[in-house]
Amino acid sequence: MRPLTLLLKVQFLGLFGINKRLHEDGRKTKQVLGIICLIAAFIGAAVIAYMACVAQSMLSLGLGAYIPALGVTLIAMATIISTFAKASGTLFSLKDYDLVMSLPVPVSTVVLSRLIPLYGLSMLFGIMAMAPMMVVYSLALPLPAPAIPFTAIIMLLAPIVPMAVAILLAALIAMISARFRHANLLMSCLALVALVGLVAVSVAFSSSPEGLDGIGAQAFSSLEDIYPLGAWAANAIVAGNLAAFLGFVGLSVGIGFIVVVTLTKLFASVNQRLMSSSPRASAAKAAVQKPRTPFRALLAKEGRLLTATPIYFLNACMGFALALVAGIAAATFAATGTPPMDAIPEELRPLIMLFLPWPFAFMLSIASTTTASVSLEGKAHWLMLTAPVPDQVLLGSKLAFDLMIAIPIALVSSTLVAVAFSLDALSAGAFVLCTTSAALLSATMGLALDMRHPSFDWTSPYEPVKRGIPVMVTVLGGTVFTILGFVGTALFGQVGTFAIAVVGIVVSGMLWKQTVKTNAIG
Amino acid sequence: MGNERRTERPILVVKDVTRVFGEKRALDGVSLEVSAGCIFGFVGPNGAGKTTLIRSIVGVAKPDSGDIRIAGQSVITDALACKRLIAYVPDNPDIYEFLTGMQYLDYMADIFEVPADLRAQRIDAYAERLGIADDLGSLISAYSHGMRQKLVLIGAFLHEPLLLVLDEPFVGLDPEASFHMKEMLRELAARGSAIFFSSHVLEVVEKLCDEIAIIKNGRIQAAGPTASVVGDDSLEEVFLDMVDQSEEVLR
Repeated sequence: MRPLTLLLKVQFLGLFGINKRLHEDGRKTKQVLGIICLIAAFIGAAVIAYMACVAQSMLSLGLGAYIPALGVTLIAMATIISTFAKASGTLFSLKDYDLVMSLPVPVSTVVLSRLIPLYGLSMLFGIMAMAPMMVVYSLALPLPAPAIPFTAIIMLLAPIVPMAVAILLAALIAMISARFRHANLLMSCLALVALVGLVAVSVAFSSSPEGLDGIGAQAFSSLEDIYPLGAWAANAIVAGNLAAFLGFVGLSVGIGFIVVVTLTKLFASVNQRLMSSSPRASAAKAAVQKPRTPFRALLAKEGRLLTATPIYFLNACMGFALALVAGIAAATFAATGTPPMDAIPEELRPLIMLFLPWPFAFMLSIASTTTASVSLEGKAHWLMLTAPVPDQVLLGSKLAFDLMIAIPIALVSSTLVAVAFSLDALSAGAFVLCTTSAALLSATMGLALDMRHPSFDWTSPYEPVKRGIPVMVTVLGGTVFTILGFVGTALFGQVGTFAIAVVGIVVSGMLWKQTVKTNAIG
Repeated sequence: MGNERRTERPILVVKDVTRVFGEKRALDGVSLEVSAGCIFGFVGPNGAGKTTLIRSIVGVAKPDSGDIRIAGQSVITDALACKRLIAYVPDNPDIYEFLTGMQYLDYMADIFEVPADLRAQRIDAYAERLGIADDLGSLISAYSHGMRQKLVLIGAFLHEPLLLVLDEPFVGLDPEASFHMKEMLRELAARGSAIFFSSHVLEVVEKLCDEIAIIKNGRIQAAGPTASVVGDDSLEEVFLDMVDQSEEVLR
């Protein structure tokens, strides 16, 4: 038990660079940890409130019976995504493989020490997502006596089967990636296509002429067919069905046991095979490229970093993809007439048009490539520090790379919406200004934060991309900016929209000026 | 060992450099000079301050006091101008794993603005010499430690730096590459550049370097032409004596 505790402790101390900070500056650490706790509490509260609202909406639509199945399915989806993203670096292709495996510790302990944090994260999300839904459900609908213990146990066990699926997928992809040069780019594109597909499907559902009620019931019942474990869990909770409960528990525990045993058996051989494989070199002898300016060389390097790091690609481009898809969807609806625009009540139309820029601004403000681009220099950051390039060029390339993606997407999505909704010139201008301001703010804020709080000692890019303070604060900053935008528009109409957008641009300029002046990395 | 091209023109001048980390004086009034055409060896036990001084020379860390000049320009006040004249090879060849070897060399050549004809010529020559010409199309993530070290070295030689700073450059190199590396250092020095390198491989330092400095507890214990520092003993004996004496003084 002690070796397992020690292995877990080492991983915990690596979180957010806690141990490093503890040994550098105690007071600063407390501040940083305080900020992290505040942000985590805010995000947690937002998730809980959102899930309770979802459950309430389902109840009001008469879909309450599907709440338990939806809860379990949400846990499964979140577990698959988080485990899949983290498996490489945690279970496979670990940087400290040699060190860990040379310790006098059984392989099963090493495997468990790697699985527990993955499971813990999924379980935490599971509780945050499902518990508020079930509380809302239990207040509205009668539950059989064993429902509470059944729910508690189901929430604890729900991540196990999806974890097994994600680990299997991650192992297969890791094996292929080790052999294929552009596997990371392919993975990034596939994931983005899947994301776009998901959004497109949900938009298609909501635009169905059958209405939300009909489609909702149809969708939720098909959900139970696709993920039978969700149906078993629902049956156990709603009807108190012991057989369904035992089936769920038995399958989860059984598969969990099989995963641990199989991973213990294959852990060494899979990792050794991954280490000994190498991507194929191109058949032709590598040729020297045409010279570029330092700025263009830095831009190209940022591009290669983004396309070669799937977790970075997905995290940084999620908002861009959503904004673009939303713009395309709006244009498609307008062109096809589904749903018909006149279905929107006349008096609501100007109001919707007035507030419409802010959801788009939100999508563009919650993510940017700059939130992790300094940290992702990693142990190679000496190259950046010794490069004979001015800070404006060095940091400017990181900012410019993000804006090269964000600004065209802001302009394209704004134009599509303007055409789709036949916006007048002023409204179209407000739209362009809002989305551009959001993109600028998120890019400059991300860069300023990552430059001040870089994390170079990561073992997996997942750490700076997902757990980094700059990423979290930028998400929070983007949310606050959007809320301010809504408030400004609500209070002062289009003048408020313009004012908040201009404030965003001015703040972005100040952040950029400060970033170059501070030069915390050079 | 002596280099015919050596001149008295100092390329690197370190003057009274001090760097303090909390209670520890990592560098305590360090001064030294490296002339054009000179291969300068910098040795000392672990934690003596070698890497701290190297990081200050290449403009990665600023000293608390003192000055460092490269070809007359101060690293403290004009780091950018100095960086253009330097190439740095760190103790660990950590470089961008998502690039291929050739992409990395192109990147370095672009950053140091090496003209097209020269970069092609130099990449070909150095890659052939160090035996990695056929691997330049592969991703760096697939390279061994030694191959990465060779790639970093080629990247450092691409712009013919006036000052080449190396931290443990022979770690991970095979004997053949190590031989070529020494030749490349001698050739660069012969063309008028200065080379400053730290190493724990005292035999190599003794054979390769025109001048040596020994550092201990942040202070230079001995410095000067290799022959005068070593005298009739070996560098290993001189080094161990000096470290012992220094510890006795401290006691």
